[in-house]
Amino acid sequence: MKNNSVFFLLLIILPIPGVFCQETQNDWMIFIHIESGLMYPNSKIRKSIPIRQNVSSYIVDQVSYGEISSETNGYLFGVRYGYFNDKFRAGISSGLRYTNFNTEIKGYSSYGTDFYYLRYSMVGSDTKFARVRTISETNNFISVPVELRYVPIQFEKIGFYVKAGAEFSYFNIQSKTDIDFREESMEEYQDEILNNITAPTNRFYSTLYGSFGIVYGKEGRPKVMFDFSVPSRFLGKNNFALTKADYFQAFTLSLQIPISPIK
Amino acid sequence: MKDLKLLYLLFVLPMVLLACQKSDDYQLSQSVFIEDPYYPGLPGYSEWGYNTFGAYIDRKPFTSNNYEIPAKIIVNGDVMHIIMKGDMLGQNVKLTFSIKGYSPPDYIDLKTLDNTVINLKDTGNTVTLEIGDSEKILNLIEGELTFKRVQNLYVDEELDRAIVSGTFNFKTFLDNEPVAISHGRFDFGIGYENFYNY
Repeated sequence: MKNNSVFFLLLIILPIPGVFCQETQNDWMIFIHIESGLMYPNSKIRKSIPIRQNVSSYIVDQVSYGEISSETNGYLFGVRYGYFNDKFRAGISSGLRYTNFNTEIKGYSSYGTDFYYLRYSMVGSDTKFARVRTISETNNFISVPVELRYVPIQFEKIGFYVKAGAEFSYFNIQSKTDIDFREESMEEYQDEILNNITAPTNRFYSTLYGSFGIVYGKEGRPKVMFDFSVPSRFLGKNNFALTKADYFQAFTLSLQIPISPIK
Repeated sequence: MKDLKLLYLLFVLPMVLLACQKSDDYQLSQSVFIEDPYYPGLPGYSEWGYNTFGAYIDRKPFTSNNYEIPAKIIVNGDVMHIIMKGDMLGQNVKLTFSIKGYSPPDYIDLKTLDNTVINLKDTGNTVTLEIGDSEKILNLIEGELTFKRVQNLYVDEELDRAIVSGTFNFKTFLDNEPVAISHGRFDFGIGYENFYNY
């Protein structure tokens, strides 16, 4: 409830300076940005997840017919409300962003198999493995991004810009971890196994990022923007239960719609 | 006609049953060799049932390979023989530890060896080394075989095999020259195919 109140407050507060600027600063333009993008965290399987034949170090010489790998990727949708100063060719924007991350650990213990061994219990002299096809995790975040944009080069229709931003999320709206077992009978142990192998995740998700981009369109008309981020940071730790990720890269495509005329 | 049905039951049914048996043991019987970065040429110490072993014979690495079963445990009377087969610089090598006073009836009983140190010099214990075609019972100066961890492994809640992991070191004579077999480590899956009691 408290989190929802924060977002509603932001939604009300955000337009206020825009209206103020519109009336007093002639060089300011107001835009709505509708954005979508793809994110690629540089993730590694957590060392605490005991998978047989998962070798995290590349220094060693390994002879094994098995291979285990992980992949985390995400997509985002967002709406931002922004101001741009034509004189300084710089702007600021903020809004709301939905981000979905999917992680999958997959692999095989040797050629011709579609599973690997996950150790989920070591009690006394008894050790238990489960044959697993994939372990997957989904996280959904609603965040508030704040972005600064500077356009050093602007031709008639095309401009090039750099952008720096940060985003903050107070909560993970939905998180789910799932195991695809080779034997269906193992489904009943899924919760116990997940409790044993996964790390608790951080509810506070935040990032710091920078990007280069290109903007195309006529002044006073909607413009298309495409940007490509430099390796950027997750500010918090433990954003994912299965993998560890400190950096990410992203591609964003957005539509900039002017909602105030140029003076 | 009745005979045909009987024949069918006698031959086809067992084949179907065999086909339904768990065939995944094979995956856990393969060797996974992950080199120890601190002891080049040897596998790192592990407790995953990687079916590997290694030791330096003086400076030469003697390790398991991919084409021979790396370990067999044979129990005869009150003596347990642990046989490690591999190679050393292309030569076939077989190392056998014979331990008196241990006679587990089956592989699931190997867990009694968990956290056990065996002095190889104790009466009744022997170590045999076969390099190429030459086999000899070693005259030990000193030596220890340590079972650091023995686990019964369940796969999908069914007992599959035992994982036997440990280390060994000893000093002996080869060609009348003192030699150390050092930094020995092993990690074996022991099950139906490599445990014998007769």
